[in-house]
Amino acid sequence: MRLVSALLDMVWRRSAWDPEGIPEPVAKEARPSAPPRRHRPTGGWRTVGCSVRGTSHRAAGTPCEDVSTIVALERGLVLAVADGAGSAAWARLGATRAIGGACEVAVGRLFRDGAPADAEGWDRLLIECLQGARRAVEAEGEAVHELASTLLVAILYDDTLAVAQVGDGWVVAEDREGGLRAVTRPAKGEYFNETVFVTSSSYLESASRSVEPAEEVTGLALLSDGLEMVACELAAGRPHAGFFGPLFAYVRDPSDSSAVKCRALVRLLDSEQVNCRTSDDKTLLVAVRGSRLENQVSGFGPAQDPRADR
Amino acid sequence: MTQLDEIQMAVNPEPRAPCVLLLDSSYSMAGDSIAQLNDGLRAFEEDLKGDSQASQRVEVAVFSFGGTVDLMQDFTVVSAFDAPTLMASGNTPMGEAIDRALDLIEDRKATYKRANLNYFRPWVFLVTDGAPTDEWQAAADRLEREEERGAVVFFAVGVDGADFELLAQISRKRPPVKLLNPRFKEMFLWLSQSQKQVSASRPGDQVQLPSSDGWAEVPT
Repeated sequence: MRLVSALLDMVWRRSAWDPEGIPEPVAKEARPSAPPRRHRPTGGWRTVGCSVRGTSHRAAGTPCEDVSTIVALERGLVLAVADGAGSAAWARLGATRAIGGACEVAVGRLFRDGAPADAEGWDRLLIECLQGARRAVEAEGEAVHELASTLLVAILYDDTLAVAQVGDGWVVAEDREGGLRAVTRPAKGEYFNETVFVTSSSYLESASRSVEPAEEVTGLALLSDGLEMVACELAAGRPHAGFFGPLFAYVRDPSDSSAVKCRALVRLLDSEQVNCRTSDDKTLLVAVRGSRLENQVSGFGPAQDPRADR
Repeated sequence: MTQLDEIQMAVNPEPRAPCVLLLDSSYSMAGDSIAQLNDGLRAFEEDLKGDSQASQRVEVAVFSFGGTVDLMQDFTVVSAFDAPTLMASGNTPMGEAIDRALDLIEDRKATYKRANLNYFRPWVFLVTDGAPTDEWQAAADRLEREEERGAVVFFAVGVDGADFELLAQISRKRPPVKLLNPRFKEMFLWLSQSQKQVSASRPGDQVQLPSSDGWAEVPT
């Protein structure tokens, strides 16, 4: 439980804040006519997340080139992380566009057509998300390699988990028994400092995609590669249980509000212990299922369930 | 691979940056040249050891070629590296040295894969004051193929007296560089700085190599 105690022990210091690290505002539900709700149902998922500028970027005066977002929908979530390439002049812009393009397709399709009927339909939706990201980057009109970024997109919707990954980073799922696994695989070149970007010609072929039932999934985390030295056992190629176990437990713990959790997460990602292992930007998005009670109220049932408007 | 090596692999999950030094220790290097080469090699060791990340990531192997090709140091992370002392004698079997370096790199990559370790593109850094005295064309062709498919990065440095025309036929992708005598130490410090850059690079980074102005003759 080192992480939880580390999280709780940290005293809030204003100086510890990095304005770049404050999470982007969570996009509002896209349907304009949706009535205001006291509870955002999100299919029963609760989320926290942030992107924090790495020490090397701070020292060099470059912005945080990790960009992330969580879109809350009536029946689920769309989570996305993009890590702008260090070699790209407009890395942050490229990462922002990639996320915007992917989320626009995902959210638009889910609203217009509803959830795809089968796994093939979900897989097509994932491919369209990646193509949407590519189009949005190309629309900037710069030389695309100056807008290079990786991309992780995860859609948790009704009883489906659909994930697409271009380049490195991790999407980690937790099951009911606390088991952890990487849902998709990073597309890497032979060498450690090589990766695939949304702007690479092979971005679609090399993308790793996964569509699976979400019933057994109790937690999901997306992270950029800046955090992998801390959060993953790289030699074994698996998530580090000592990191994700307490992390999911903390995010699930109802005693702190999500604003408090977000701040704790920013402090954790910017802590000495993390910064001494990595100087890169780092992103961590976490979604956990709410408690059983919450699930009964706003959970897995049809969105029209009147109890959801309690 | 020794058991100690296996333990080293298991306890250090850092991605590895392999670097093979091919050092001419033929008779013509005797005297000042070999002494400065040895000093430079020690400066290389010290400089890399001063960088905590590089000393866990850079792996060095050293071949000397003088009379015979000898693996003076098999791949080891810098933190466990002791610079060997080279003695000058014999002719210049450069072709065999290049072949064996490429073999050693292939083996090392297989070892990394078995141990599930990430790695950077290997470097081969050759220093000579002469020309090969053995059959070198086949080794040069192999080197060209390996460079073409991105398997290695090859640098050749010629000391005074080296046959640069012939070196250019071996180092086809990057023309050989002429060492300003007697800047062995500066050259090795450039190499260690470069290895620090390589081993600190993140996915998607373009490695910015330091300037070689301090030790290499600028072609005119």
